[in-house]
Amino acid sequence: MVNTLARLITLIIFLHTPFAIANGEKITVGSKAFTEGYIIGEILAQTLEAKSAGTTLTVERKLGMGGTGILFQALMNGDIQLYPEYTGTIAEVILKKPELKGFAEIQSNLKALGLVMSLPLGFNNTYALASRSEFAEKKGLTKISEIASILPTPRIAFSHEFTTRNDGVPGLSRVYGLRFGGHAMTMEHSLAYEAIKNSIVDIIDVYSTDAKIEKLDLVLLRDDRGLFPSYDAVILARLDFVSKHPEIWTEIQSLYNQIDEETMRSLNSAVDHENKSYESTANSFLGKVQRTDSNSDLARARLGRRTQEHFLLVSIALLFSIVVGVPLGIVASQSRFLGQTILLLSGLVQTIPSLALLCFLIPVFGIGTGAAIVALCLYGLLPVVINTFTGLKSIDPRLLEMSDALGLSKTQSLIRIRLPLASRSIMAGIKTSAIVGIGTATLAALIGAGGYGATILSGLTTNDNRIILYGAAPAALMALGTHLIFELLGTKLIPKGLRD
Amino acid sequence: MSDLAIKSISKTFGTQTVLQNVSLQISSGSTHVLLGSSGSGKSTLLKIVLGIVQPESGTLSLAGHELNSSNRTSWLQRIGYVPQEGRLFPHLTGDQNVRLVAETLKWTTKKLNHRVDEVTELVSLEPELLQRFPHEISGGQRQRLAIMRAILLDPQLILLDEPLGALDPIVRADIQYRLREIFRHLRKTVLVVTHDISEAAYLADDVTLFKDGHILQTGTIESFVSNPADPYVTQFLNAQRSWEISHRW
Repeated sequence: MVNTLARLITLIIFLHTPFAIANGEKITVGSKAFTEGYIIGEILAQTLEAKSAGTTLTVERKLGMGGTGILFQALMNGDIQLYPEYTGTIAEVILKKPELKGFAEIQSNLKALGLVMSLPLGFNNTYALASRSEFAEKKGLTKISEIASILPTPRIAFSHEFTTRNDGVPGLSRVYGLRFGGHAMTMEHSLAYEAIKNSIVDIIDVYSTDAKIEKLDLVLLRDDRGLFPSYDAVILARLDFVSKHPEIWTEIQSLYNQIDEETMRSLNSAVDHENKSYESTANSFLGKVQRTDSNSDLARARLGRRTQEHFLLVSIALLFSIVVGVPLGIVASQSRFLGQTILLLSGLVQTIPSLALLCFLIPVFGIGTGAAIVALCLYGLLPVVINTFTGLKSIDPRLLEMSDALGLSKTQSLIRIRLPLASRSIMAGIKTSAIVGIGTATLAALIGAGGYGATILSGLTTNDNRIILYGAAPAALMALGTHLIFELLGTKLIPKGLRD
Repeated sequence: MSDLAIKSISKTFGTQTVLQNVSLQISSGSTHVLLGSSGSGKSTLLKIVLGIVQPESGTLSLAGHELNSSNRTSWLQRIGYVPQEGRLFPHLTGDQNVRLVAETLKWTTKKLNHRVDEVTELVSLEPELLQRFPHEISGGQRQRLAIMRAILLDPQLILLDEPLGALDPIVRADIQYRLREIFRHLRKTVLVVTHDISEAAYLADDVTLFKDGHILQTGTIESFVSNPADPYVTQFLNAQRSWEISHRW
């Protein structure tokens, strides 16, 4: 048994090594999970690859991670060395000094954190409010200050980050006196586009370089009171990385003023509307060999790798959930106080929102597979603990008395009587944990651990259902397969006398 | 000598006194039946003798060895226990149930196989039934397995708690007969709890009648009839009139 386990772990580590680079220094590029983030991240990665060709440096991509908070944590941790960011976000979210406007001011404040930003790439992707042009025309709406006077109250959807940012909803209320109350929904950014496209809402927040503005026939509302600061795109990097590799930083600085708003919109449009992949879009921008692959081609091509990543995430996390959860369930069944404490704590973990949990874990475990496994293991714990506890607690007390009367020690009774009698319930808990884990593991993409979530997130960003399906369908198949495997395992592991 | 000596045992559950200063001497090789209505304390006394319920006061000794907190496991291994409805473990086959304790004691396979064959014959169980799970066999067959499990380690004392209560009359009569043969054959000290007077009369050398945690009378069942120590003794006997008939059978 121990041998088998050891072999399994060796196998898992072996399977995992293709993704880990043994020698040489690794530069990890991060990005946020929206089209522009992916494209700039890809341009950055390809620029670095060209520069580091023939050296021991290797470039790793952690594109499409879950928001400024996670990327900043990852950067401070040294899990990534650089990623594309905007001056407005740096001032607002990272430095928490919205009053900083000048480039030099921001740069000197970053230095204190051990960070540095590149010269601006050339485009300003500010927040803006957009409305369907047909709606704007009908209501005579051209600028933000007019929103308040429209009747009936327009239906509004904001992205999560916009809702809490100082220059988002709170700014709208401060500068424009807009109070949304129950009228504004909060939803994932790409879904907000879907909502406005289908006339479910009238106004959404957008990024000004977004190709969808044109595609969906939206008009930008003029920021007539100057709420939105400028969001000049820059590359945010660790200072120690920059001083160690000045030649690479020089190369990155050469992107200065290379991408204007027009260019950025057309790059975004290449991905969002012409079905080009991020890779080929970045590739053609950098003037290299024209590639014609689409993101869905790449999603299909990466199916094998994503499956492997997803399977490893789920299976390693499950293994830990079992190794930790079953003993916890056993301990919980022994004492009333410990039992309640353990059940309460493992239940409490479930209530921590996934993004928050990931943010808590990054300082300790970094980004990528490690933190994802810890998070998944924590989320997978509850069904295992509860079912072990319940299975042990619901054993007929007369059988326990008999086990005592036979003179079996506590350990003998646990191994030969109690665990086998609870095995049905424990197996059901492990199965639940595995199947739920397959769904939850899609969150791993938010911290760059890959898996089907990376495909889904990429499809969500470009609003391409085919790509989403390349992630969601195999995840569903994996859940189905897991169900069947556990049915089969049940016939082996649950004693025959307890089966129907 | 494997006399069982029960001295001044008292037990309360909460505010209720279940046993009050009970003493009983059971001589080696004899079968002793504890009689009494529900709640009279007889089953509690059996569990105290078994070592799974702690008395407030009093001592127990078996063949001169007193039960204390440090020798509980070896005490339990000197006792065979047949509870009501057998209480076989449902996840184990009959065979695995019977072998369980001997396996934890690291008996050799050869010795264990031999012993299982022996006790299978003793209770007249068809050997192929051993491979079945408890839910696949009848109540009588389960009880035979429970008896096999109880006597496998060749214990000095066998305790039976309403062992045949859940069986139909024909199976019950058959196993009663089998039990009496086994007790006589093995010459074990046996303590049986029952509320069935005919069973008591059939199995017992001596009988003790309990009422409200006290012993009312100890002796042969005949002495209960001829010389009742308390009107309750006669009342208890008369409540189950058929005992005389079955006693003659």
